[in-house]
Amino acid sequence: MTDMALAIPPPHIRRRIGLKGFLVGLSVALLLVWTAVPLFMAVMWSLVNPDDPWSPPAVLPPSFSLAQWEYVFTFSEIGKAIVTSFVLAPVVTILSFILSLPTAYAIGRLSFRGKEALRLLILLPIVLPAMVIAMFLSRTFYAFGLAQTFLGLVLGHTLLSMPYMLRILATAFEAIPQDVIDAARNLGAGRLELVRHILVPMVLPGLMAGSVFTFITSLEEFNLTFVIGTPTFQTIPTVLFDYLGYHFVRTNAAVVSIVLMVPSIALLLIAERYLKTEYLSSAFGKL
Amino acid sequence: MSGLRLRNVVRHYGGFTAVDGVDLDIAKGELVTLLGPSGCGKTTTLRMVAGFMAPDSGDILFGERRMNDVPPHRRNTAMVFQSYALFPHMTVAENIAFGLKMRKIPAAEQMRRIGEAIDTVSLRGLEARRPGQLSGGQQQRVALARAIVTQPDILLFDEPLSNLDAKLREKVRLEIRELQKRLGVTTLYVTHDQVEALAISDRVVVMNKGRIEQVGAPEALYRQPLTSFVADFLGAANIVSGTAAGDHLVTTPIGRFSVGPERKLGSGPVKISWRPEDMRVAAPGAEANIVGARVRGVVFCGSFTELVLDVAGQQLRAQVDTGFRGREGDLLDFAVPSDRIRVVA
Ligand SMILES: Nc1ncnc2c1ncn2[C@@H]1O[C@H](COP(=O)(O)OP(=O)(O)O)[C@@H](O)[C@H]1O
Ligand SMILES: [Mg+2]
Repeated sequence: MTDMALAIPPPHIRRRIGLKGFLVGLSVALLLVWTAVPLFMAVMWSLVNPDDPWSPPAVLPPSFSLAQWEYVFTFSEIGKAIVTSFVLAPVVTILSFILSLPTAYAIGRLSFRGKEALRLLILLPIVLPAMVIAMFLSRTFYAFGLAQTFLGLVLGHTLLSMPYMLRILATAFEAIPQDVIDAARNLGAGRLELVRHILVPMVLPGLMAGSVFTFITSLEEFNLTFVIGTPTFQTIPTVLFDYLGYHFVRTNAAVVSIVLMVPSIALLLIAERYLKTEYLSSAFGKL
Repeated sequence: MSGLRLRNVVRHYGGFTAVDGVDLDIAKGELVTLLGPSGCGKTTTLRMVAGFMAPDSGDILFGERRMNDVPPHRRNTAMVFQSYALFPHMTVAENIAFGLKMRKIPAAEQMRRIGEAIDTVSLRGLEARRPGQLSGGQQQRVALARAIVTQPDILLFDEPLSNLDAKLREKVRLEIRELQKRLGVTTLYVTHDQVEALAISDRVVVMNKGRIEQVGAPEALYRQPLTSFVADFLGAANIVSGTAAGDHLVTTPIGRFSVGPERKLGSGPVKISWRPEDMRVAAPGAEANIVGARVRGVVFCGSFTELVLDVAGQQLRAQVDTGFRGREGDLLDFAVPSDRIRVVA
């Protein structure tokens, strides 16, 4: 206590630290409310002992048990849903990558008319309400016999999650300075060598980041899956919906939420590492 | 190693002519600089030599070989870019190795040549760093090492010093010149800095609006500019319009000047030009090429004093030694030796 009192800086500095400290504190607080609190609450709810209920005044459940986990994994389709989700997401990510590559390259490296319009168009699936897209897409999917099929789910998810891949990949291509490409050619790199030694390594961080976003989008997609996939296919979000909607059971929903959230958060942390890779700018920033 | 020839090279961007009929012969081992203001077509010319773009018409020859249709990776040129253009995902050593790898040089020889190049540009100890972890000057050295290690037929520089601070610029300029002489490599160098061009080149090509204005050795170009553009771009110049009045005499609004005997003038409008440092305070009683001028400004520049003069509404510049004791507002006579006056177009 006394140490802290001694360390207090003079008033004019204190005021600035005060504001800065306040802003930092505020962001940390928001972040906590945003992620840590829900996660913590979900964990708590998922561990509630059914024989010893947790009611409002208590800060923590009176006792813990894995009964909710056992129940959900025994009496729901969560097991199958996890498999479906984690098969679907990688397939969607790979397909998104393959489909995005030419367009991303064109947007990032070539100049053509209507490029800016195309850039905006790509954003549409992100900005339109998911439910609206799902409803109209489902008509098409039913018409082509794609509803209630795995292929239909793959195509639907790809359509919805590809924008992330496309945007990030295009940005990654765009970030490569023309001089660097010219330097490689100047030093003897033909087309293939240019792709292998320069283009691929330089867009790799973008590709990783784009993949993670695509993967997470597919993992968390609900609307379209619900309309064209269920009841044949369940994914983690549609199982979660069962517990939220028809018969709302908070403890069971908590279990499914954790199953859904943990991989997403883990993946986001991985993406963060790649997004921080600063070598795109670093080589040219020291002017 | 070979010489480089440009034959009437033209390049358009849309309707705009960026390079407009450039003819140039560069001898084996020579360092020639393209000098001109920003936008005059220097980089475009360089990029055509490297093969990044093709001329719309005209030929580019390395030695006797026409290169127009040879892709950049088969030209054996090496370019040092203004931005350095290092590969950010590779270490210093990998950057330098790149050209050797592309040429499928055996690993042992690669190691030897990379080591040599690293010593040449004094980068020992930094081999494992990435470009992002280097200072601007160090990045510049990597770019240089990466270029010379391939033993190119033609070395190309596009404003390689423009991102360095002034002190470092002079130092690296000398190093580049020394290295180029030692390697004896044919070099095309681009800059918009006239001091740099004069200091580094065997010959300088002054460009303006896509055309060659004049080609010459640095001193000849500085002493004998053919056009007012060259006179003005290479250092400072006093340029005065007048009328030829006999073979060696020019009448101007600020007086009559006798000019050097090496050129007959005939008659009609002409322009004359001289350097500020060639204008001195006239000795008492001198009569030839005297200009009576009002001193408008006296600027101490260290090794000399710069005067801003006014003669009948025309502004002139003079450099005098620092012993000059005149002041603003003084009316003084200045003399211009006739052998220092150039008739320019
Ligand atoms: N890709 C391009 N498209 C259109 N105009 C260009 C392009 N590159 C250069 N130019 C124009 O051509 C002229 C010459 O350019 P450049 O060769 O880069 O000049 P310098 O290197 O002498 O500054 C400039 O006016 C420039 O604006
Ligand atoms: Mg340029």
